[in-house]
Amino acid sequence: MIRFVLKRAIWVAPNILILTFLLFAILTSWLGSPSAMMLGLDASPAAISEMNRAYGFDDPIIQQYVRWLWAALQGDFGRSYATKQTVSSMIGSALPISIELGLWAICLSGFAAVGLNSLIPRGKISGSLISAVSVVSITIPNFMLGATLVYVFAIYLRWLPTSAWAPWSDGILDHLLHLILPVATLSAFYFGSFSMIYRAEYRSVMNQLFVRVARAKGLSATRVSLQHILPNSVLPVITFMGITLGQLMGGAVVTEVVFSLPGIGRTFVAAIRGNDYPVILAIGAIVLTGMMVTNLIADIVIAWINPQVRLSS
Amino acid sequence: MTALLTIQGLRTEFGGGDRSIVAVDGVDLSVERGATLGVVGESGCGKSALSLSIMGLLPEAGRVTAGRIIFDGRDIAHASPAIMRTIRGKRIAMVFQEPMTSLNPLFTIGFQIAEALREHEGRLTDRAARARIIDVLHRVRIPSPERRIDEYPHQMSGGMRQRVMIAMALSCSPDLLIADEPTTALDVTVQAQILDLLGELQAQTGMAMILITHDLGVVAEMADRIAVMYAGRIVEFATAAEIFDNAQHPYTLGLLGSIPRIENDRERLLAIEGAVPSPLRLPSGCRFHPRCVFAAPECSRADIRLTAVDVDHVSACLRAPVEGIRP
Repeated sequence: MIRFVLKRAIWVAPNILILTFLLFAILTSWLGSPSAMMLGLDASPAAISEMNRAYGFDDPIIQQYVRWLWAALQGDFGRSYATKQTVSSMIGSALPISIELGLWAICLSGFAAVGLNSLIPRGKISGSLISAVSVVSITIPNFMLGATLVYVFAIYLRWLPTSAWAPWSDGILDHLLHLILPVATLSAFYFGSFSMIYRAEYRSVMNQLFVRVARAKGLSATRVSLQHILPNSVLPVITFMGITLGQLMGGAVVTEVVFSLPGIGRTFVAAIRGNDYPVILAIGAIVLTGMMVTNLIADIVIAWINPQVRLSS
Repeated sequence: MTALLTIQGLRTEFGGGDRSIVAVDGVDLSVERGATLGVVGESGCGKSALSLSIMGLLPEAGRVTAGRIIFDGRDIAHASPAIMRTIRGKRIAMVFQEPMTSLNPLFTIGFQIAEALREHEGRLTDRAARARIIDVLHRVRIPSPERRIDEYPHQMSGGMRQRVMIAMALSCSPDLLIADEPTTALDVTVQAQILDLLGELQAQTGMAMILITHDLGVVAEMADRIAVMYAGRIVEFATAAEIFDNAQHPYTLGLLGSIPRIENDRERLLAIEGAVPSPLRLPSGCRFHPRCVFAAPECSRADIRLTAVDVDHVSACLRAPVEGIRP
């Protein structure tokens, strides 16, 4: 098992290097120089080359990349051209918000999808209800669901705050109350995908002979479902949860906008609009790294569940 | 003495309405305590549906629509799931055809046997459970059970996995073991070992056994009585000796591979011509008559029932006894 983890982990670093290099090259030279982007269409060639010299954009791309990487490894992603703040301070305040939102949403929707589909017998009305809810939850746009939830629970019933982020320092209760609606909105969306993936896998596993054998032992339907069918059908959901969590490190843009959360998604959109390449680059690199790491974690969890993977390496 | 298991007029259907398929059609059987009943027939004749009906493990589309399954004095054909759970694995255990897929790939074989023990034997310490499992693995002749108990199914061969399945079935000392084609998926040499093992274990424990197979050779040595099934019905039911020496149904004769052809004197046939009829288009009268070399015109018209042809021997053939018409 330890060897399996090491073997997978060793590949993460070179992958991150290659991908961040490609990202760096695309943003700093292949799509035109940052100076031209920042100075705009009216900039004189003299001004552009002046800025290129000042910021080192004339240097070979590898040299620029190594310089950026070395600084980035020490937590220095440069300064935003738009806000003049350091990129690390902008990300430092936004990233934890997006990660927390993503973790809550992925865990909640993952557990709900797996739990509900394992415990509620299919074929019954309640089983059909879950598949209907899954389809609806995928098809309803996030902004619509978010706005509806705000109207019902915040404006009409006045049970929950409408929007904004309450940090932990405001008290745990306040923090969690502010999280309920955004997490519900985001979870609803992912619940549909997780539920459909899980149902498809569950259906094929439940027809396997070992499930009949488990019933022939006299085990209850619930135990057969949770002990024998669930662990065999949950693997694709874990992979998908890993990928999704990695993506959410780049922020849940719509949810953050609807609920005015100062997460990384809004920072990212603002940076793209303003051609703020140090910010785009930093967020891109973090999302990349995050996805690699969450994928690795998903693979490790899968290996831990499946002895064929765990013991063969 | 009353039989351990008595099946009366069992009818098992799949699907609903006009398109329902009758997999088991009016079957009567009984198994005495400690005895072995062989159920023989080609694939699709309803053998597996019969065993799943007894276990209450029919897939969702299937259900018992008539008849009684009396196990130890109680009708379990429509017993509640809670009652069936106390019977399955504890009083009636089952071994299936495919040892390669019978075990959950994610758990050790020790864990999977322990599940049955813990379900039926109440609280067991880990140490006690482990000792019981090692003992039962030992009884099914798995070498070094102390080590094998912690192995996963993929680390074992098909023959070993079938031994594990038998160990699992035996772990709670059932009164009845249903073995549904237990050797079909195994190599020929392993088949003989598994059959010997089943015979020995039965002699040790005194459990009754229903051995389901398509191969009369498999039940030849083990069964006390043999039921031959065709298209959902029993066509012949007799002691094993009677079936082998004095078969009275042309289908049984065909299975025995010794049916004489009427036009070719003394030439021996090894196969029954044609195929098992589709359950959606069953022939009228005797369901075997389109493939039967003895068929007479009345075979397609009459409603043919099992009738006694000898002591402890019934056959559903209008033309029985067949000696008279043998060439």
